[in-house]
Amino acid sequence: MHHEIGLRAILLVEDNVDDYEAALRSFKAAHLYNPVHWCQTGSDALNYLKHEGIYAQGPAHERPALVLLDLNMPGIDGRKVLSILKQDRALKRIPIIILTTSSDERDITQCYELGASTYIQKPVEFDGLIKAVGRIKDYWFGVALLPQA
Amino acid sequence: MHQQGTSARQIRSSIAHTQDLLGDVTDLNILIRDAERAQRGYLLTGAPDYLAPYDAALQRLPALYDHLRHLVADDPRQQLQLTTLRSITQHKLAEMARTIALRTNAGEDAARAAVLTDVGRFLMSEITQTLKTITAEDNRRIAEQIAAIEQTDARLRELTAFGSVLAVLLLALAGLMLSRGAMRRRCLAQQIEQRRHGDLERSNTDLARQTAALERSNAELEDFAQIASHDLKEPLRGLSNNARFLQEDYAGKLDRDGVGRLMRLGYLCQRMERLIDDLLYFSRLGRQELGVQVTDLNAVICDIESMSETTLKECNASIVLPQALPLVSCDKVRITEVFRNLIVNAIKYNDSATKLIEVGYHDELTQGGVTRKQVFYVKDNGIGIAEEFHEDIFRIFKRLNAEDDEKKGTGVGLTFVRKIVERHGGRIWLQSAYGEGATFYFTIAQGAAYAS
Repeated sequence: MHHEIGLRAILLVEDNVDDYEAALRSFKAAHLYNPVHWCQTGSDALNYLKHEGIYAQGPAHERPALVLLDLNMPGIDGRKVLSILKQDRALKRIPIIILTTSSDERDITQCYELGASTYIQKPVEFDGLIKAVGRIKDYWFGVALLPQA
Repeated sequence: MHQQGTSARQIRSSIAHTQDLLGDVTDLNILIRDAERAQRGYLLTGAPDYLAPYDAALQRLPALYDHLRHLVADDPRQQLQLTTLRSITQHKLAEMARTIALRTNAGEDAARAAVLTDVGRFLMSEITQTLKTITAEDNRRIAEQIAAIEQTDARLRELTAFGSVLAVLLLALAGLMLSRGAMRRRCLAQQIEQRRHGDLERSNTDLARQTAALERSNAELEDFAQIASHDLKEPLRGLSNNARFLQEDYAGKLDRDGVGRLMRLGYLCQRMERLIDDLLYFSRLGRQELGVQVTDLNAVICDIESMSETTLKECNASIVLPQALPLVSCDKVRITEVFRNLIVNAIKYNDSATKLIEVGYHDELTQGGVTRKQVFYVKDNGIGIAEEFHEDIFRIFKRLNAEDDEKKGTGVGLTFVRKIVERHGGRIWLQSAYGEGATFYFTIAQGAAYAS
């Protein structure tokens, strides 16, 4: 992925295959062409970002420009991933967008306290998801300036 | 003794609390009366000097309210009264500000005309009345505490008497067995003493444990709907997406029947989502704090009427108020929801050519030998509800009539209505027979309605 000039990768942390597929389709529909790396668990995501575990030997990859993080996952859940990343000196600069079913006030508050950049509730309707992804693209790759990899 | 120690502490803190509360209530009364006197002085003379106490009152009132709110933090009844008080006081202050501004800008006559409407005097008497209620409520609380303490004392005396008799018997027994020695006798007396303490303490800890368990299970129940709903939504989203992707990706291979079935799947997912959202909302109704304020129910009904103007016209329905409704301390948004739901049902389940919905209020209503105070009602000339369904209709997702997919509701309206009424400390019931229209009655907390 590191050879894709100009388009930095997005890390998608999502345990649900259906949601992963819906996300990919919505990226395409919203013309978001950045390469996507998919991690199905919290620990896989941490390994990927820290170049540990199965990623210790493989080819070097750049840090992603953005992390899209689901909250409710088995094992190390999104809250824990968020909290670990925001305590890591090197990784805490990566903007993290929470993308979850939960609209619980407690989740929203906790995620922002832990340092999430944005909190988005997954729209049930696919058209809603396309719209949301379109906004993510416009904002993070149009308006915002991102830190170096 | 342990129990009496606690009681004494309770009484001491109770007395301190009452002194604080009475102090605040007196201060508040004086402040508002001073402000009113200042306002009148200014209206008469037009001299700004007179307004100093009015300005002082405006400054001091917020702190006084904060202190009062702090005092009644663990007493929902007093909180309701306090909210009422605050709301009327704000009305009163606004009214004063208005007449003062009139005097300044439009002169003495205009201000006098405003004062003559008597609104100010009415609000003042409402304030006095609410202050009295707060004081009375505090008296009631103290009386309750004293009764509880007396009960504990009586129980202690009984136990002591019983213990003493037991001690005497055992001591006599011990006397007979003197050979066993004085040591054992002392030991027995000690055991009795310990048991006497133990019984009371055990029953106290039992009670505390039960209360804690109840609170925990309530909190768990409230969390349940929230969590379950979110977990249910995830596979639902998957279903809906898969149906759509199948339709998109296999467009060429599917015939009309196949496409139709996929669309039906999409529709069912949407319906399921609405049910889950309703369940979520229901759980929130049980959890969220009420935003209590003084509410003019006439305005509430007016709003509902103008919002549903088209529907009313189309259905040839009209809302009638036989007499003005009272002002009420309640959560305005939620109570609007109650009336709106009842009115919508009255139109929907109605096959009369001219649909009549009567919204009214009884200061007192006697039905079947039971008298209730401050009863609201919504009455219609619709299809009515057979008695066997009078309880069913309040159950969540329960529906009595088959309807088309397009206008099919989820069957939650009356469940929400009952929940809201119960959150306000009231209850709801109905009188109806099939084919004879229906009347829904409900109350809000006692004393919530305070002026017609």
